[in-house]
Amino acid sequence: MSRDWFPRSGDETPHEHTHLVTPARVYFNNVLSSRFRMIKVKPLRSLVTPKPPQFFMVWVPGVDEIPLSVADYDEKSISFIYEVKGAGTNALSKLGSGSYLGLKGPLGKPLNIVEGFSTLLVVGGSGVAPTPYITKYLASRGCRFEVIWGVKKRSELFNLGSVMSGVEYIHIATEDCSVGYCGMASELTRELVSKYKYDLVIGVGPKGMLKSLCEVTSGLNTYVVLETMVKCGLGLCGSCVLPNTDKLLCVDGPAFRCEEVMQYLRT
Amino acid sequence: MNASGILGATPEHIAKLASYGLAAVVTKTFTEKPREGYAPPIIIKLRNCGYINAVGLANPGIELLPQVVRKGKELGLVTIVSVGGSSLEEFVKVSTVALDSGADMLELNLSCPHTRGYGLDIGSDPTNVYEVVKAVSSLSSTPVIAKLGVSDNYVKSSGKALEGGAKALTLINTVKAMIIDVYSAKPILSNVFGGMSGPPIHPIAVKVVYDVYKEYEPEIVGVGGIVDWISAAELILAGAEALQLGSALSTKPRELVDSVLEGLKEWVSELGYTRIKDLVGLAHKK
Ligand SMILES: Cc1cc2nc3c(=O)[nH]c(=O)nc-3n(C[C@H](O)[C@H](O)[C@H](O)COP(=O)(O)OP(=O)(O)OC[C@H]3O[C@@H](n4cnc5c(N)ncnc54)[C@H](O)[C@@H]3O)c2cc1C
Ligand SMILES: Cc1cc2nc3c(=O)[nH]c(=O)nc-3n(C[C@H](O)[C@H](O)[C@H](O)COP(=O)(O)O)c2cc1C
Ligand code: FES
Repeated sequence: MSRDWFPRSGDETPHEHTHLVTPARVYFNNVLSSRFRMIKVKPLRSLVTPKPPQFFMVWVPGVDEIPLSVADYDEKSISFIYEVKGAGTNALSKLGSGSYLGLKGPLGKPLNIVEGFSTLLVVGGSGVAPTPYITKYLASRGCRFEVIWGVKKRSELFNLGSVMSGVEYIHIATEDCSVGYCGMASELTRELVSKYKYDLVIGVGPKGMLKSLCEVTSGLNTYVVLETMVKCGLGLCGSCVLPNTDKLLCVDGPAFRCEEVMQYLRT
Repeated sequence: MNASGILGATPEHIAKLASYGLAAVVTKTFTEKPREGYAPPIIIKLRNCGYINAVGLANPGIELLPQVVRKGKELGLVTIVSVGGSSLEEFVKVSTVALDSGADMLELNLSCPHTRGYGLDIGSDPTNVYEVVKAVSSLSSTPVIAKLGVSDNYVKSSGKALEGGAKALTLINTVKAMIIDVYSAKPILSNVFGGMSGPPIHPIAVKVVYDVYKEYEPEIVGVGGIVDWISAAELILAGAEALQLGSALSTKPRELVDSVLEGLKEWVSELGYTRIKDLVGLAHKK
């Protein structure tokens, strides 16, 4: 029993550390495409190494705290790709180089990625944000992977290769048929999974796309990365609960197996 | 049981709490109307290992309360409804819905420190405490627990709550506090200030429980900074008969509940007792 005398919250185990707000300084905050921006910051204290698809609560001082997935990370910096939606992301887009913000995380559960898994990553909409870090991680685990990136129109695209390494091939799918595959990412997925064998399929994007993805990959090992309203990120406030389940996105997710969330995706 | 405000606002939350292995569940504090609560940041960990929160009593209002209570009962859990209000009428209204829904007990939140017009704004005045507890206690025979916080008057307020008919007291709520980021020079919580919980308030909770037990020997639900069996045991020795876990549920909740129960069991037998009940308030023995 002697170990018990050191209070659980008294020692700075990595888990405890991830609930603090770590200050960070902005390196740059640039436009990537008509839809996306990327911000790269230097944490002023070392962070626990995130594993995809973990996320951070990014605090824009005096304005808001918003959940953003890790787009890239190394020992000196961390980057996020984001879309300006409302007050929080708008304020984030105004932070120039040298400004300060706060980072709480990494939060959520890492995906269990087995070494050497052949993986298909399907992203749509703002789901592109965590792509560079997921692919970096897959490469580091010796996984072969392919990426399908679905967008509505051409102007949303940016050169993913410029923000990520090790990607051999990206299938682009556009709904307006202006580039690449003509149609939805899930339709292209259906074609690929009927021809090739994948050990793992990961989907990131809007709910409708993830629902179709789960349907077309039924029977495969598919995980979908979801979004709900995350307010605390710590499993305390309950705002991120997936309706009709006992799952909290911020601690049990954000990645879930299709079977776990099919009912939610259908609503 | 969990401390009020850790989940407990929807049926889904109750299902989640049930998976932690708790004997009873306490709902989020319900108010008559739904409340959005404050914008993030709402909960932050502190460098002193505590947490600070200003959630702003976010809850779906009494319309959803029956479903929440039903879920707790369905899962076979003792279901305690935390009742909030900014007026005597609101406390009575919410309590009535809770009672009609079959709540096993009511816990009156007379101690939330960061929402204007609620909680501590009411609970720090012993006369208010008496009136609210009396009005709610007279609605039915369902046990009413008064949850009080740290104020200059906590011993007096405790006495008034008991006089008003409270069967037990929950001690303590969070303690008013604030955190400022030293780089951006801004307060971090959107509400600017909030309530501190976790290990830093544990010795305060021990003192409050000790003082109130010494004065009245009431049934006390101890809460504040429990992170392991030792912090739980201290509150029992000070006078707590039941315990609630709050912010510590942010870290491996199931393991936490199991290890507290396991540790307490070993401790009771180590001291040569058979029941925890025999250790309640033992620190007062001369
Ligand atoms: C785990 C997770 C990871 C995310 N990663 C990214 C990312 O890498 N890049 C990116 O562009 N977006 C990401 N999002 C979405 C992003 O958090 C929201 O777009 C952002 O919070 C909107 O805030 P706002 O104040 O600008 O807009 P608001 O005006 O507040 O809202 C605009 C829209 O965003 C939704 N939203 C608002 N607040 C939240 C919140 N706290 N959590 C979830 N949704 C919210 C609203 O429902 C609304 O539809 C992620 C969301 C989650 C839950
Ligand atoms: C996120 C959060 C929300 C809370 N909400 C409520 C609430 O709605 N009603 C209430 O009576 N207490 C609320 N509290 C206070 C707790 O019930 C408890 O009294 C306090 O956190 C001390 O316990 P702890 O140190 O174990 O966290 C809240 C605490 C936290 C951390
Ligand atoms: S965001 Fe608060 S519990 Fe998940």
